[in-house]
Amino acid sequence: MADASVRQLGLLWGGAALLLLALAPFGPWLAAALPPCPFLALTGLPCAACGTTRAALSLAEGRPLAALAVNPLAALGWGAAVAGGLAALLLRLAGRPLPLLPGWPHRWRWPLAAALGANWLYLVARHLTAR
Amino acid sequence: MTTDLNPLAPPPPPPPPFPPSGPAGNPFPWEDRARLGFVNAYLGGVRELLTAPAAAFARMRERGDYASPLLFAIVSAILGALFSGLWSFAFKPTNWLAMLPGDLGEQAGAAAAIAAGGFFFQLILVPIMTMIGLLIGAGITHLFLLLFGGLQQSPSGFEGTFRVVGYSSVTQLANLVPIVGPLAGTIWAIVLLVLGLARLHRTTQGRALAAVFAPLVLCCVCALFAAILAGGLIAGAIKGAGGF
Repeated sequence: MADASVRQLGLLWGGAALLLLALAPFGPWLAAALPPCPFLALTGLPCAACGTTRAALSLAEGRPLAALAVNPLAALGWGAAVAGGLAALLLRLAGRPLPLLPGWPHRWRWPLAAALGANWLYLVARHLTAR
Repeated sequence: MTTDLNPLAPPPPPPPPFPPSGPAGNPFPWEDRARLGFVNAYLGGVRELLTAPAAAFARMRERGDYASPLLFAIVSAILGALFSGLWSFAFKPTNWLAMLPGDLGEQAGAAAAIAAGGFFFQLILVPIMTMIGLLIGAGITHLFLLLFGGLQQSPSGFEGTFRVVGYSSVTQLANLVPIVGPLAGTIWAIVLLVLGLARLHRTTQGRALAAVFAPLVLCCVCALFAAILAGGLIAGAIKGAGGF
């Protein structure tokens, strides 16, 4: 049962990564349909997720440094989602087990919270200094 | 009965903290679609998630089947998009102008045809966006569950979150009701997510609620305050104008 789960996740994740790559040329058109950030509109400060779309668009245009500058955590997340998906698909097609997925190590809890906080502080500082 | 009174019989096992999940005997209708048929299984799943969501999450499988929640979410998203498109078409005045004779009718008709074409293109994109959105949404929710300590006793891991987020897409059917439908659907989705995450991850509803709300609060808390403020101002204005 657990093996079936991991196999299916490999296919699903890989399929989603391929779809993301296929949709990359349509990124600007798809992004135009998204509403503006209400947090930014009301407070004048970026929310913790501000720049996620722009980071994705920069990555789609092959500008990873620009993506990292816009929102480092989002850029890393997008990169990990696509690269991880492709790796998972290749491993699945090769009949090899996924080397990860041991469950979320709970010791990552606080580093993850710190990373989210630090990323948000970076976004706010970047926004304020850009004024 | 005699066995129960036998002092040499081994003690009965302690009751589990939660009733066992899974398809044993009485599976969740959508996961029994081979027997029930596609339409009946879907309608049964919708009915159960609407009327008895806690029981629905208790009856569904916890692992080994990513396809069922994904397919359920895609069907719900397509139906939701159809309802939504229907209402936006019905409420768009230019679409009614297309029925007028003459140039105005022709121009409005052309605009309506372009809008209809765009809508059908969107329908093609719905399954793709649902698949990607489901993975990303489940990933974010799973991340916040980890942050709030909601995964410590989870037997289902990421698949549990994926299943709950996928089946909670049933709330897209609320688009059947115009205007208030999406709002009711949002509230219903939060209820389903909290019940489902608490059940499948063996965590408290408080942690599940925190994991569901945290991303919303991080991005939308000010919008919520603004909406409440605007609502208050509008209510005050109506009252001042002699309403109520």
